[in-house]
Amino acid sequence: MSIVEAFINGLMVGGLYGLFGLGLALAFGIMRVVNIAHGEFIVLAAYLGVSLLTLTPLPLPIVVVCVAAAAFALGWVLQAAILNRVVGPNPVPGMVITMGLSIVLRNALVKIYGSNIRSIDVGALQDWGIRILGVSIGVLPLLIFFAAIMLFVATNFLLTRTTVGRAFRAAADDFEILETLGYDRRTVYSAAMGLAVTLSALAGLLLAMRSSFSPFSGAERLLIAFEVVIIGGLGSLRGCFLGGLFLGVVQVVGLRLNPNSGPLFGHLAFFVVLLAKQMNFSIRPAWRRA
Amino acid sequence: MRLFRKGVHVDVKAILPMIVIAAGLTAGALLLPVDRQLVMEMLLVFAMAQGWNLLCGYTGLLSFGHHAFVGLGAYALFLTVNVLGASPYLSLGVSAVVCALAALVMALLLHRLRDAYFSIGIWVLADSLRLVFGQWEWAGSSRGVVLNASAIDPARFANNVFWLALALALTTQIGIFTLLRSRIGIALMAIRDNEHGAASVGIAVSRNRLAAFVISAVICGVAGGLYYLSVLYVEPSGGFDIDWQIKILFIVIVGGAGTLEGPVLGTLVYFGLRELFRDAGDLYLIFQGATAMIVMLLAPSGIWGSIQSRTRWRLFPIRWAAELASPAE
Repeated sequence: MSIVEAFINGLMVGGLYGLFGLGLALAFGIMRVVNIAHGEFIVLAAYLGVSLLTLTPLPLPIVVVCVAAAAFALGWVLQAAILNRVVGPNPVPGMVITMGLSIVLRNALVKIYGSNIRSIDVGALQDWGIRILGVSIGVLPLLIFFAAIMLFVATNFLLTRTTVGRAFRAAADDFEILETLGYDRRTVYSAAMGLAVTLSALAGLLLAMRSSFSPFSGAERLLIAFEVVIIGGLGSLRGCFLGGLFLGVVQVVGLRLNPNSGPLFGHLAFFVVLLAKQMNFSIRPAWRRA
Repeated sequence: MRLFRKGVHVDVKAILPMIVIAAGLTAGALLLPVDRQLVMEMLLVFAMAQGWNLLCGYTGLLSFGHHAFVGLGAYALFLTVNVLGASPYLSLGVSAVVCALAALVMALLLHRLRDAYFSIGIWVLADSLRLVFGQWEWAGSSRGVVLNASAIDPARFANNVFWLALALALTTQIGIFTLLRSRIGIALMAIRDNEHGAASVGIAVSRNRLAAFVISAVICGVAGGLYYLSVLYVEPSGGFDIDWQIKILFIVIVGGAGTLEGPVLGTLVYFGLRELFRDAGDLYLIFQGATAMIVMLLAPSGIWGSIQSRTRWRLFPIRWAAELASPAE
């Protein structure tokens, strides 16, 4: 039975992995910015949540809102002050700058919080569980999974049904046409980066409720996000979500089989998918492939 | 693959500044009263950076996973010495071969990936290697490997390693300089500047790019092998530490990617800052990250790139400058 439990657990972590990938994919799809500091943003949000919860009497929902607002502001400022200067066809300057930023953030976190492992305490909710058909499922992971789905649905709504979302997609497709329509490309980019960082911050908070983190967790989270994007394909919300589920399942089942393996099974699955994609393997008949 | 064509002759005037600088730095390294271990580390990290620069600055492939080769080179050396009882110095050849083969295998996985996909793909590969070596019982798993002490002669060991590091750094610099002045170098720069254009005039894009990748992997592997040989111990989280990659990236970006002088300057800046702020701890790392950001924003071509564009100095000329080109050539 434990494999089934691991599978379900993997699905639930996978929803969060999908969110990690979504933040990265938005920034890459719209601005062509590869945010190497993505993982550090995720960890930063978790630390911010811990600090607010321990230092102030605010309840958890308000803390989540505060962290989301702070993340949006951070993303906006980052894009407006720094990354808008290097947008363009060449992704290298953006990557190097965010790489530098990730080093700064990681070591600043070590300086402030020390390098100990932490987690967000959600009280008694941690231990609640329900049993369905002999499989026990934690209530907390289930709630977190639904939160992830809600965030996906909300993002989908934003991108397809609102003016801002349409501007984002237009900026991804052709920013010159967007500018002729009276939009400021830089503002659109700043807002998009704000949204991307907010999504990853929320994912970071949610993950911190169910597993521990340290200032050095960022790189692992970044690699997960990137694997999700490549597995799911860029520019598709559904792809991101399914990629996240796939990676989550592989990783949790892999950890059940070999508890010391860390993210190794996720990496291996990523390479299998990469190879399969390169071989142009497809279940669709050749004449119907695009 | 011919490195030299008949028509290319070595220009003494072009080589002279390089010889002077190499001699100056070598003399500085030998005569100044600084720690030998530090100088050796500088030489090795410089070699790695120059190898990485060949890939990043001359083919446009930004790798975030060259620490894979540092660790692989070290492990190849340690396991060869411990299992086969070979001489540690000759085992450096094994490091080179293993890294070349690993690079070829990696290229199979990565050859379609560009830009960020390549950067992170190779990072994931490096991280996988770290995890595999952390699990691999025969290779010491997470405890790492200690070099068999009977394989070395303690009296001469430190000196030998130092001279090898110096030889590696000089070979790398002169070798890449020669390579870039050859047909391959011109092909690489053409690919970096316009891939489709290069392909349309008959340059074998993927073969040249693969060559640069393998060469940079071998340099990093041998340098990694030498570094860990000097400390006699390697473990997965040290050998495959992303810190190696960060050092390399900092040196090349701050010095100036795509120039041969840049990594020299970058190495001096990096280690200079590190020694100055030796006591600052984490603050120094924060400062280092911030420096990389600021340089990229203010001088995207690095310190040497800025100097070069103002003064037109070229210590390692790999291109004909417009005013020097004569019709007779």
